Amino acid sequence: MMMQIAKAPHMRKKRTTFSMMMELFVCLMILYAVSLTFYFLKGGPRFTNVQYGLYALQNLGIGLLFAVLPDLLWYLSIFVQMRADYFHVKIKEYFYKVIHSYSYITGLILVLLLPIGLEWYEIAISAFFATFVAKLVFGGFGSNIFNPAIVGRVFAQIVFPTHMTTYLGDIGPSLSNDVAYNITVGATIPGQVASHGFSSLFDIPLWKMFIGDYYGSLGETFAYVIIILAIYLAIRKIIDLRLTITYLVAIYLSSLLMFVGFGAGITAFEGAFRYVLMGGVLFGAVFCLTDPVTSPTSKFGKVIFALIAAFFTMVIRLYTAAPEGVAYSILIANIFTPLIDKCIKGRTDKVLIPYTASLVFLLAVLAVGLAYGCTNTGVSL
Amino acid sequence: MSFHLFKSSEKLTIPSNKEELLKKPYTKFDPEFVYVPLSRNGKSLKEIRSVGDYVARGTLLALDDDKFPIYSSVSGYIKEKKEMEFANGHMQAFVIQNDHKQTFELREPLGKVSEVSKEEIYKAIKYSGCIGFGGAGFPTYKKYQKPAQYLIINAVECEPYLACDYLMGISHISLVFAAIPYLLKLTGAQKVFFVAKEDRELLIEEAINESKKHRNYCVEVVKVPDAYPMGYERSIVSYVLHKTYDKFPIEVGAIVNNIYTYMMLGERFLYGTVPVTRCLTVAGLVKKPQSVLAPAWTLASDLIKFCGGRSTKKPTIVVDGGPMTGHAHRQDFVTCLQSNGVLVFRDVHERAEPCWHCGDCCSHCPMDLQPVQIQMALKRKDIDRLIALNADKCINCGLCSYVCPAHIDVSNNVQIAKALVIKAKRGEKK
Ligand code: SF4
Ligand code: SF4
Repeated sequence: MMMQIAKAPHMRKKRTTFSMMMELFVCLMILYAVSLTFYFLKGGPRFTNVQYGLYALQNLGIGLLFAVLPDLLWYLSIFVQMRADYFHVKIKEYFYKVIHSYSYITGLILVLLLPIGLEWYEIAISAFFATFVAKLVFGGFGSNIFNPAIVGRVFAQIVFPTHMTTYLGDIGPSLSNDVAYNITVGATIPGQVASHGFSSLFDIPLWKMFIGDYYGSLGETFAYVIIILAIYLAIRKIIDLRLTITYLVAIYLSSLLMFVGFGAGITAFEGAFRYVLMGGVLFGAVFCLTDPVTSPTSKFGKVIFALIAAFFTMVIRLYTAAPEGVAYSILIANIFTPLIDKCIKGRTDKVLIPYTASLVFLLAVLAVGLAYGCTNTGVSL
Repeated sequence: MSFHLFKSSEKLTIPSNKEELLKKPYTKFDPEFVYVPLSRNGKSLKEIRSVGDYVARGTLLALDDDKFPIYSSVSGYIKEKKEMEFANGHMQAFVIQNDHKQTFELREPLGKVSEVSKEEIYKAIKYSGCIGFGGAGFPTYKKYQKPAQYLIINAVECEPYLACDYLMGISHISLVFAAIPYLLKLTGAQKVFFVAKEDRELLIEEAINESKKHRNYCVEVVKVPDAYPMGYERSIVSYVLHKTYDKFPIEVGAIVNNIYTYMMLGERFLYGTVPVTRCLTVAGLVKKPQSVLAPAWTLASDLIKFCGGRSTKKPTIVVDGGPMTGHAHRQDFVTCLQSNGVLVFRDVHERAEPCWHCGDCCSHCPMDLQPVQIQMALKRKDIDRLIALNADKCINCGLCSYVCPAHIDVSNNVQIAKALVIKAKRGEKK
């Protein structure tokens, strides 16, 4: 077969999808390593330190293995389909496909999104579901509509709700004696806020929240590491900070208005800050929302997308029973991606419509926070 | 690095690979044969000469319907007429055997600027057969049919590897400036801009020195940043005049011409020669990369041989023009009058990954298009969507393919879409 002749341009940027993905993988591994160290050193209330560390390792191993397994099975079809070719060509093609499906990154993100305490089979099923249903069924890498890792996480939350929350025990000094609480109710901060009200948000010192010295999902709590990685990834142009910052700012402003509505006065600024650090907001904003495959392609679309996600995060956090809205909101925003892309026509050099539209969406996000704040003025802080 | 929340303003500096090439002065090359094409844009020309005739450099060989001529680029006998592969397609061609005597058939030089009429200048441009040497090969006279306010001399040369315009520019800057007064008279323009890349210091210096010698008109030397595609008409007009236009720069009163075109016009006005030579950069995988001044319509393989031949034994492709936009050839071909480079690259085709919708192509497109969306619409054959996405506005700069991390031929897909849209729009009109 004659190879097709190369088309112009005959020079390409050195950067490839593969190299970007590898860099992302390394960054996520750094985050994981920090988390692992944390659990080895600090442990938790239920088991010994080493056990916690081993659990973290087990999560990683199982998560990666079962995220890649669907690829390994799915692409076996290559051996059936390709007819007149040598076996080693097929083998090469097979491994190329598996490696370039990037499911190990899906698996790694999923592991970081899940807490210690899930049974190994629960992680395995979630990871398998994530790759198989959210990625392969949609046509493989690049064609998926939903962020696979988020799908896995939401799946785990729906199917194994008890194990998502009852594993770690205390979060702040004021509650650490409440044994009954430790075992039965959600111990992540969002869970606690949902059950014990907003005052529990202030139970732990702000600096501890910043360095991640509390319990949550494996990778979500280490705010400073996530911020450093985000800056690195943005400089390397692997993620688009446009999304991250829009999302965070929208949530910050919205919750600021909410605390002002509570009548919090100057602590509103701190409260809003804690509200942004709480749960998976930061992690979601840096590693999940920015997934290129499931976010719109144009800059304008990205901003709108982030605002939609922020809107649903606030709505779900404030008006539903679910403790944490980030995962759901990203999934909902993913649905809007094709629609956003479709709405942006012509040349994108006009800025009037983008500015107006973003402003409208931002106001919508603010309105959620403000409305909740004003209708629940009795909340004690 | 500029930042904009919504616009695709990310200008890109791409490796130019021409530091060495810029330092080597150009060399002259006189090939054994040249192959003069006998058709233009798919229409055959009316032949004035026939096989066996003796022609000199600049002898009229053929005319098109518009009386736009084509001249011989060497002196010698027309040996035969045969089908040849050109950089832009298969065409009938006169094969002219070079006798290396370099006899030149001259036209009447124009007199003093104050004494020639506009009509004479226009005719001189038209019948010199001059075309745009930037690579598009658009007949120059068509640009000068309307009065204009600004003349822009494009010496940016933003494509990697190419150094020929710079090398010609530093040695023949006076020819460039010789053409200006005539063109000012013809168009009634007031202002001339000389646009060059900021790191081409020697050229800028020469231009400034030269412009000081001419007190009766004003030339402003503009330095543009080292970014691709800075040398495109649109980029230049928007950088220099801060204006955008729909189809042609004349809409905002500007006429943009390549520096080499100016040089050729200057030569025509002063000495009566016609443009039949072209300086090309031969680079890539050749032993002695350099810029070569050769008669137009030389065989690419002759040029490569002149530069020491290929430096690799592996299969290669030969690109006509710059690496960002030039067409690749596997077989030998004849370079065009407007060709500005012959580049040898390895014959490889990188495997493309699936598009992961990263939007890099959108944030770099100089026309603010959304190549990825165009590509998706093309896959669905959704013509309405293609029209809505303004696929026909693409200027074919190749930047979207360059930045695509998945190594998809995005710009090629946009070309296909563009052709579809133009066809659909024509159909609508009829
Ligand atoms: S080739 Fe066309 S679509 Fe691609 S970047 Fe250039 S102008 Fe935009
Ligand atoms: S740069 Fe390539 S991978 Fe990215 S959106 Fe454009 S076509 Fe797709």
